[in-house]
Amino acid sequence: MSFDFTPALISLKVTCVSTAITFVIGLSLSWCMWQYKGKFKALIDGIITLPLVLPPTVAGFMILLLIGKNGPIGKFLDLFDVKIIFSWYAAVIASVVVSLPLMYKTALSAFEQLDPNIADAARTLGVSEWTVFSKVSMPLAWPGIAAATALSFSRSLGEFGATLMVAGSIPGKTQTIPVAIYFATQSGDMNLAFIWVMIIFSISLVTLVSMNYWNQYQFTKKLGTRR
Amino acid sequence: MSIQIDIQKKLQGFHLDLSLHTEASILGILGASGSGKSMLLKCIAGLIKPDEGHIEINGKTFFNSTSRINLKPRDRKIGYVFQNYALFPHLTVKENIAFGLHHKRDDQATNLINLISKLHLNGLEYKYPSQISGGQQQRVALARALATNPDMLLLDEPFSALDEHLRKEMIKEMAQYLDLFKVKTLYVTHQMDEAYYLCDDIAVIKHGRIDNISHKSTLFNNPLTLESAKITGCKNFSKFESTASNTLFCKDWGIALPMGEAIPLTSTNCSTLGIRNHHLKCVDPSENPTSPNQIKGWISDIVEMPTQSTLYVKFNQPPHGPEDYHIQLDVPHEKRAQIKEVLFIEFPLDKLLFLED
Repeated sequence: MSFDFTPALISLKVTCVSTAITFVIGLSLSWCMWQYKGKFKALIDGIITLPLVLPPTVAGFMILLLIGKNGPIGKFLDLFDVKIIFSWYAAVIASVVVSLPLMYKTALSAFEQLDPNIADAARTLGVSEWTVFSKVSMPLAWPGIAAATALSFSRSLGEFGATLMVAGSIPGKTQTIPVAIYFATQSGDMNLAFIWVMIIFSISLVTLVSMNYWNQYQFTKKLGTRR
Repeated sequence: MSIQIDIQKKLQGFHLDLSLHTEASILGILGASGSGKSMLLKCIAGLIKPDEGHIEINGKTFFNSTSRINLKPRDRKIGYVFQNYALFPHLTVKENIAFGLHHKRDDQATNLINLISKLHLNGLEYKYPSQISGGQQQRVALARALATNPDMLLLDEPFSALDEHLRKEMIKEMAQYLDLFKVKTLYVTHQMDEAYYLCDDIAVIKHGRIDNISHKSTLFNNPLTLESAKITGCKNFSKFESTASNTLFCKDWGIALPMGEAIPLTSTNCSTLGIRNHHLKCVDPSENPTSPNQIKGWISDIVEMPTQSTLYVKFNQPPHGPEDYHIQLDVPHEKRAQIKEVLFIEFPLDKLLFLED
């Protein structure tokens, strides 16, 4: 029996791309929301966090409405003969939507734990806002940001509901590990399902654990021995 | 230095309404906690945006609500020393100080070396803030603020995190640095001794408003307002009324002080009389009172301090307990043995403070 590894490759491809996108968007959003003190803060925060509490199928349904054949984005892309529904791009979009709240919330709370005077001190020293972010706030919040990234990565890797709705389960094209597990179980191939379960289990555990160790290492290296 | 500030900001339960115009080179801002003094510094540095008004420092407009000017903090050339220093914990001392500098410029590298040696930070360049002492952290914070050659230095209670011994030492050091670097300074504190030592002019701030601004000796000798008297350490206050025969009747104390000549009211709005602890004299009760300004009192409580004792005294009748007193005064330890239950307190008339509320 030849074992088909494509679900693992597709899963890794989708997860890596979506984690990269989630990292950039989630970090920017949390940085902006940390600075923003306006009256819409609670509303914006709620909207970004919503996919965390909604069933993934609801997120999938909303994405489908937007990028489907008759959706506004789908129609627009159709003009350039681009179709993203039921492609691995759609799986990336689904992963980003579902993992973004984790990235955003965890990174935001990492920023909120920083002493606001430290960023303000940097601002008074005449440097750009980008320097404040990249040289001060991000390095200081890094343990939290790294945890946020690890969580988003694991969440993307395990994404099932929304992915199935917008990307389907085309073997060799859009079938990710979680989807493969579902269909293997459905067709009674418990051995295959079990192998995929063990694989996804190992990847997630290794990601989270190595992130923890790396963080500890970075922390002691940067700050030296603390009194 | 020219400071022209008129700003308003409404916050929950607090209204900042400041008007500050001065040419002082080192100005102290003295106020109780929550009086809005740190917020004033943050408005000047651009970290908080006032609702309305204008801020002009040395002829440069930082903020003007009518012409919609609001310079970014980085364009204001302000050195800010925070109360908790706000050093960058992940950077070394040298990296902290050099944070606002452009590394490629040679003259700035020389400046950096000069600054480190002037502030006695040699040998600490590669330590992290968590590895150095509180006094050293403060010097790093000062060096970091001075490194960018600011037009003005803002010091926000820089000594409050230090223990008493170190505080005294650092105040003296700070005075030397301010003299050495000749930078215009706005210095915020709630400690009158710090303000007196470091500043020539002092503004008293109360509930988000400037209460009084004057030269420090004027402020201490003739504080004019109740808040200024309180923040400069005066503890004894009473409402008063002047009666026909040039007598001051102190309502809260229930005593009358014959003034002899006309009462030197500085303003008709004065309604409170104040006198500092150390100006009150304690007269031995065995001697007969020689002056009508010596008033009989009963001891309510005696609190022993390291260098002197504080007596709490009640007039007219014996007190019910240690909390029942009208005035307090300081006596040296050696005089304490002579103090009996009943004594006479002498009010030096030239030391009375007439205050507006």
